[in-house]
Amino acid sequence: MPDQDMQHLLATAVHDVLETMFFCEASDRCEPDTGAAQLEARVAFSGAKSGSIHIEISEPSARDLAASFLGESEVSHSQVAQVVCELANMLCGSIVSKIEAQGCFDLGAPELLIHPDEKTAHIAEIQQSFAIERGTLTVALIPCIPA
Amino acid sequence: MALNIMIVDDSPVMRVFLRKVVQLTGLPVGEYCEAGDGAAALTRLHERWIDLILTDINMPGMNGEEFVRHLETDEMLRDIPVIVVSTDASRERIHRMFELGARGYISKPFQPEALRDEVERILGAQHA
Repeated sequence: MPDQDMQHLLATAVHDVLETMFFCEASDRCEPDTGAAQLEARVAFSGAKSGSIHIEISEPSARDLAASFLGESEVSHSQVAQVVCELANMLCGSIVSKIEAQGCFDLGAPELLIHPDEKTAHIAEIQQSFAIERGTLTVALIPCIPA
Repeated sequence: MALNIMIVDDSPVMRVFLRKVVQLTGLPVGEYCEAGDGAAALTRLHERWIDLILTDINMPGMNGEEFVRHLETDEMLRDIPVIVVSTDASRERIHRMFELGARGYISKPFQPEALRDEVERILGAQHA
């Protein structure tokens, strides 16, 4: 798939998932927020194409999304982490379903990354950051590199 | 008639979310029952009356495909309608889940109306 189509596909998935499931709007592309604390999660996928979707979200934004998703004013750290994993899961499913609409794929379990790999940006096939309430959301498609 | 609804998903926050979505649809709900995977769901299904099952596919332990396959082989449970709620929107997966016995399929992300429409289609308008 051409690079521009992939960028569009990723941006569409981010807008659809945030607006429909989290009642949150994302602005167009921006620079990643490097100042605030971040939460990172990853979901691996395999099929005709294999790899993983990584997301990185500002901690205050993640807390807001979790509160919105659960319809609660107060959310625990554990709930925030679970919602970030669920966000990664939905983005991965949404993106990969469009890449492999005709085929079948398997998704791994979402993982919260405790010690994130700082080299993600260098190996990502596609990476985009979006401004959301109180921070940014960065989404990257990491292809599986055959050994 | 109020519906007893089972939600099968390994994510506790997704189970909470689905309960809220069901409430938003205005469906008359009697009781909710929850399970973290297909095996736990099967055990609970033998303990209480359930009218409708909402299940994820991708779960540790017994996943959604195995769960639906087990339901179909159990004479006591095979008539309970199952709606799959999954991030996987590929045609092949949707086709496979219907072949296994699922009656409805909703891809995430989705609006509450999508769930209501699917329940109405499966159970009839009197429940919606």
